[in-house]
Amino acid sequence: MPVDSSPVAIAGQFALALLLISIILALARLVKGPAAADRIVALDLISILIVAFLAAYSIYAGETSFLDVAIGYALIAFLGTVALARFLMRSALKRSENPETEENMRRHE
Amino acid sequence: MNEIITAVLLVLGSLFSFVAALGMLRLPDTVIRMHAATKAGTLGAGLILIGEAFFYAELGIALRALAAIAFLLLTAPVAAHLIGRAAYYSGVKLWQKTWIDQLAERYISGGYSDPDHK
Amino acid sequence: MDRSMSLTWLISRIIVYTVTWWVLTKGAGDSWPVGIPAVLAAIYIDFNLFRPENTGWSLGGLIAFVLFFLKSSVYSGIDVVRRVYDPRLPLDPAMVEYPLRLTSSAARNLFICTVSLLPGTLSTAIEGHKLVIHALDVGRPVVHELNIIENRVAAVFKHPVLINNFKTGESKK
Repeated sequence: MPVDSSPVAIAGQFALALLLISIILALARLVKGPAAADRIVALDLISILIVAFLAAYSIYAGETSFLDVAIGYALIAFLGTVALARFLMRSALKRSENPETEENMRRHE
Repeated sequence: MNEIITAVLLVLGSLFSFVAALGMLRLPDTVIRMHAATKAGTLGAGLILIGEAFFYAELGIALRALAAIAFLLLTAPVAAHLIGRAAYYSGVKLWQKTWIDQLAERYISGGYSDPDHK
Repeated sequence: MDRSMSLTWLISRIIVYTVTWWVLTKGAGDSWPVGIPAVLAAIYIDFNLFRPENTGWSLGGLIAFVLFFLKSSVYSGIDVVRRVYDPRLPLDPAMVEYPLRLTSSAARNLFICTVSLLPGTLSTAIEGHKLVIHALDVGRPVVHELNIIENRVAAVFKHPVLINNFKTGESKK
């Protein structure tokens, strides 16, 4: 852990705090977003923010293994986002093939 | 010297990420929010990773940080592409002043029966 | 494009993936029992997903492209800052259809990733040779800017750039 008054420590604390606030803001969109796509976009941003947080913590704590965690997490999170997007796409296509349920779906917009 | 570069990059990177998250709440449209997440979010994370490469001035760490940046740069646009397509198919209304909706002409008239169409 | 596996392609892939594994594991000797199958699996996936196209690449084009990309990334970040600061900024968003002139999959991949990361444009869908892009501001000459980016990507790959007739969609060299 670097000495408390070194520039990296101060910048590290600032960056970690700001990234935490950013994650909370993105969570707000996750909760609020009227469509499912909004939520998936929020999740994508949260993944990127977590990668940034892991990298910043790796600098702040002086521990290089967090970088490996960041790479592994970026890989898995990308797979998750792709899976969600494809799921959304498939369900949208299924919906467009059943027009009698369009009225039901429109209520969820 | 490396420490100052790292500190500056940390601050800049976290500021860009904060702007991306703020854009999530303030921007008026799903696709426009994706613009913010892809550009500012990736830039913020990239800057912090470059800061890490400067902090530990080691070849192994620098190469891994570069690999992480390259991975983010390649996957964030792909994710945005897929989400944008899925959002359009699932009927998300674009911001009301969006015009030339050329996708609409094609998808309303033709549609696609193949769910795996790119 | 035929999927012939040339020897240079194979050797270059073996070198790249072995070096990648070596970097990731910091040269730890006891990781190779996992590393060698991983390298082989990577080569197998590479061959099946990306057709080996021998178009070559140019170093000058690559360096110029990297510099252009770095500069534009920073601009795009600043652009997002401007828009978030004032979300009612005079946006004029539109879906723009853009006929691609690049043909190789690697070049197209690079072009689409670059376009998504550059200020004001985000790729949304691909059909055949047409790319649909969501542009934030149609007041700017979007198609012209996309042309310039495509030329730069073509310079990286030493790609012959075709001349397009935007109306009819046919292309001639």
